[in-house]
Amino acid sequence: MLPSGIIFKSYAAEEAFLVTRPQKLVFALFIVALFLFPMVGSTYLVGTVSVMMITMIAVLGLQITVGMAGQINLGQSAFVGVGAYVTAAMAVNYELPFWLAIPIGGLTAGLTSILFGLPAARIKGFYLALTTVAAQVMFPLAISRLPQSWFGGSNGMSMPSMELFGYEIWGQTGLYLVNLCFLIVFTTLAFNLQRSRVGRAFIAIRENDVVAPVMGINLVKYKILAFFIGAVFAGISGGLYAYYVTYVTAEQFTLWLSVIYLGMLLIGGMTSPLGAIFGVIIITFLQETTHEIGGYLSGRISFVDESVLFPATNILLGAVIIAVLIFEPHGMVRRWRIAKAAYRIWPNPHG
Amino acid sequence: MIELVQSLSSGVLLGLLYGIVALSFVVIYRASRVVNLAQGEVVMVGAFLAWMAASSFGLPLYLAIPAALAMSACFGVIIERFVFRPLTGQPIFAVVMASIGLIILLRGATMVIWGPATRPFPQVFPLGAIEIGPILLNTALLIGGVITIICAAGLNWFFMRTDAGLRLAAVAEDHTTALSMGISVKKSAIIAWVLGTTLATVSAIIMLSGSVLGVTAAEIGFRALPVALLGGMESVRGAVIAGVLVGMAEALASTYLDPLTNGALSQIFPFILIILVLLIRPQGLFGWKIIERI
Amino acid sequence: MRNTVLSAKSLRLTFGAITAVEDISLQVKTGQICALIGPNGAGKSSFLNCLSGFYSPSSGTVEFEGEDITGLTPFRRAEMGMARTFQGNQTYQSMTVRENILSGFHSQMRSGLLGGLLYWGGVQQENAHFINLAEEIIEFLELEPLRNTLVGELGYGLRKRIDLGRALGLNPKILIMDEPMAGMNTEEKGDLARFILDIRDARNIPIILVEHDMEVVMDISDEVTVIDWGKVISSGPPDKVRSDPKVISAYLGGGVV
Ligand SMILES: Nc1ncnc2c1ncn2[C@@H]1O[C@H](COP(=O)(O)OP(=O)(O)OP(=O)(O)O)[C@@H](O)[C@H]1O
Ligand SMILES: [Mg+2]
Repeated sequence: MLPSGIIFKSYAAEEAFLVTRPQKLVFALFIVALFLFPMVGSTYLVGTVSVMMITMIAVLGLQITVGMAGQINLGQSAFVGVGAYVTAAMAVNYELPFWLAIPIGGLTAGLTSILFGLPAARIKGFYLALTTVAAQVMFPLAISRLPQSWFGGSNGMSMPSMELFGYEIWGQTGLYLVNLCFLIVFTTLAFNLQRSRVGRAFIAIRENDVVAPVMGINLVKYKILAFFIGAVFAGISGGLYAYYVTYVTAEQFTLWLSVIYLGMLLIGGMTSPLGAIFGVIIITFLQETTHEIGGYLSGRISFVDESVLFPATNILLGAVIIAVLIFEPHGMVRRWRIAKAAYRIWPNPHG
Repeated sequence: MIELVQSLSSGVLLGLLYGIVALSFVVIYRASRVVNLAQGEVVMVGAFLAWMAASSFGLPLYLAIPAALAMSACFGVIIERFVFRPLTGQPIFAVVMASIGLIILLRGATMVIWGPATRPFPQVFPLGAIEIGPILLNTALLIGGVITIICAAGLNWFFMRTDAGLRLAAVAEDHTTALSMGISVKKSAIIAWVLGTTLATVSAIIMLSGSVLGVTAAEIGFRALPVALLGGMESVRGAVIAGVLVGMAEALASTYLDPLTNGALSQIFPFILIILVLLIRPQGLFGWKIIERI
Repeated sequence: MRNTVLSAKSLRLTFGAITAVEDISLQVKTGQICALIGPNGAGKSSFLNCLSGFYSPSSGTVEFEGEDITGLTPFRRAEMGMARTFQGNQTYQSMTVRENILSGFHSQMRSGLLGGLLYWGGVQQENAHFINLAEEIIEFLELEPLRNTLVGELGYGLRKRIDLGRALGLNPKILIMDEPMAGMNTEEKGDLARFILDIRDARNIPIILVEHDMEVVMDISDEVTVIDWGKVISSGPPDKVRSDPKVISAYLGGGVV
């Protein structure tokens, strides 16, 4: 948030995210607060935030593929699944430490996605979404049919706990801190990408994929790259998830989850990594609130119980997504920008 | 030999079921340029409406089915009016995303209104199989296949031979031209959605007659979408032909390949086939080849 | 002696039954402004699209700086220095003016995926360097006050100017412009004509210009080619073309010329 009266000394300086000293200070305090949060939050809350952070990484990846590059991806949760399973296989079969197993899971998810991005060489536009549906259909079948010694077949896989320098990372707090570190790294990467040459090429393709190649952008290469990097984020998220839930099965990674990821991104705003963060927060908040209200009401009103409340959240969620598309196509991020701009010209609203 | 013929003919019948769902994608796309990813959920809602008419209202089938179709038509009008009409003129990307919102919304609404439990679906067509020589054909699917072909022929006639149908095609091609020709984009979108949702309900009845209804009915959507893409999103006959092709491929894979691969290939094979065909003909078998202009 | 930069030989392009370009040849030399005129639907845009590789001609060849580029993809041609602007509005709407122009520098920049993700020193320097180059173009096109405005919020005339800026980012060896002045008022047209002449003079690059405004065309071009129904019906210096009876009849009695 930029207050009024800031003058940039070079054009490049405008690219920086944090400009003034107070801004940097507030941001640093915010990060410190995030690290200290487990000391004050309840175990349940810390766990919820952990899952939120894991989800955010997957949705950040989706923001790159769908939001930046404009490629519809209905298979993000399959790529999360690939990351989870490969991480599990690395940790269980090869006894690799988590800081190796998770990146390997991420890269494998990325490489898998290239397979599904390759048809981009010929197939254009919406038709490409088909291959991501294919990924989603193939994932559970592949897991259950591959040799049991690889991924546990249809039984799923049980995870060891994380270890660092011989110490076990223990409990919700330990996992929270690891997830937070990963989230900070990957959020930074996503923001960096957006203002780089590659990010600009992605955005150009989203804005006008007919003109972008005539302006020197290798369309096929960048489409595949967009799938790749989005799936790497998904895979990392999957690896973290595997350690968090301690048991992975193919049923955790459904088409429905892919749809929900897209919903989160849509509500938060597709055009900025911030949208991924907002979207996950908004939807988790919505779900948790319904959960709370449900717990309160179910004892008092006969027909209200979990089986009505969760679907009711989905009605709300679907309706909000459609409303956002109709009334605020840029998502909550745009509202945020408007608020920021208002702050920047304060106290001269007409300046 | 008999095994092959049996497998192929079951495949054709299954394919015709895909075909009629694919048709519902096509009619909506043709006149409103909307790729409705929530079409599976529309089938599901249609199924619940039919179930409600027959089981909750207790209507006899000859009243329940028309009632279900009428309710689906209203349902189509509602979707068009409140979801897609406000998005007219938005990029196709936004429209597709709205259909994702619709998936979530319709699943939630179905669970709230009708509950998550599965239930028996009324038996509309006779159970069992018809024997033709040594070949067995599922009666419901056979009748359904005939209905699919009749619907496709009717739609083809409508789009190719009638004034109203030709107008829909013009709207699909170009909104501005259509407007300048005095064709109402609004009206054609409503027609498209009414056709699309009633077709979806017909396909739900064929698919579920005498079997079990639950939210999983929506899964047919993502099985039929590839079929519609293979046929070409604009093509009525493409949807049916692609359906038959995919049905046969699936049946053959399940008879001859699944024993070798532990039963995974029949579900993956159609996708591989479709992607391969699209690599050669990106617009699908009968889709319109549109050359971009700048 | 001026060298030929681009030469198209007997290009032909069909869309199904429609022959959009029947037989067009064109030679463009260093520093030349070469105008291409013709009635609506004559095949001008289709011809330009063959030059930039967006369409592949069914026969004929395109040579650029002595090299046969007929089979090259559009992005390869852009990398070689073939830049263009488009008929209608083809800018990136939700990018700012500066980002639009920066995106033109794509093929000159080197940083890849990893660099973009990590955004380390070298990548930052590269970005800063090209931002300064983009600022030069912004200054040249007098867009300074708008550099951080979203292009979607700007008027049609300004968008066409940004389209030009993006093309200049490619550091072109030839500049192709499809109806850059369509929809502009007289003042905007004057500005743009000035920019076009400045570009030619400063960079000595040839310009192919498709334009309907005859006054501007006759004023600024060195060479005019008239096409109708996908064929060249006349070519030469403006004065010669102006009085060619074939051109006059193609333009319905020559009222426009
Ligand atoms: N993508 C396409 N598909 C089918 N026909 C096309 C396509 N592009 C152009 N045409 C046809 O080719 C012919 C030439 O069109 P083109 O756009 O090249 O004309 P133009 O000279 O640029 O006209 P204008 O001055 O209106 O821009 C026209 O008849 C047009 O309808
Ligand atoms: Mg033109």
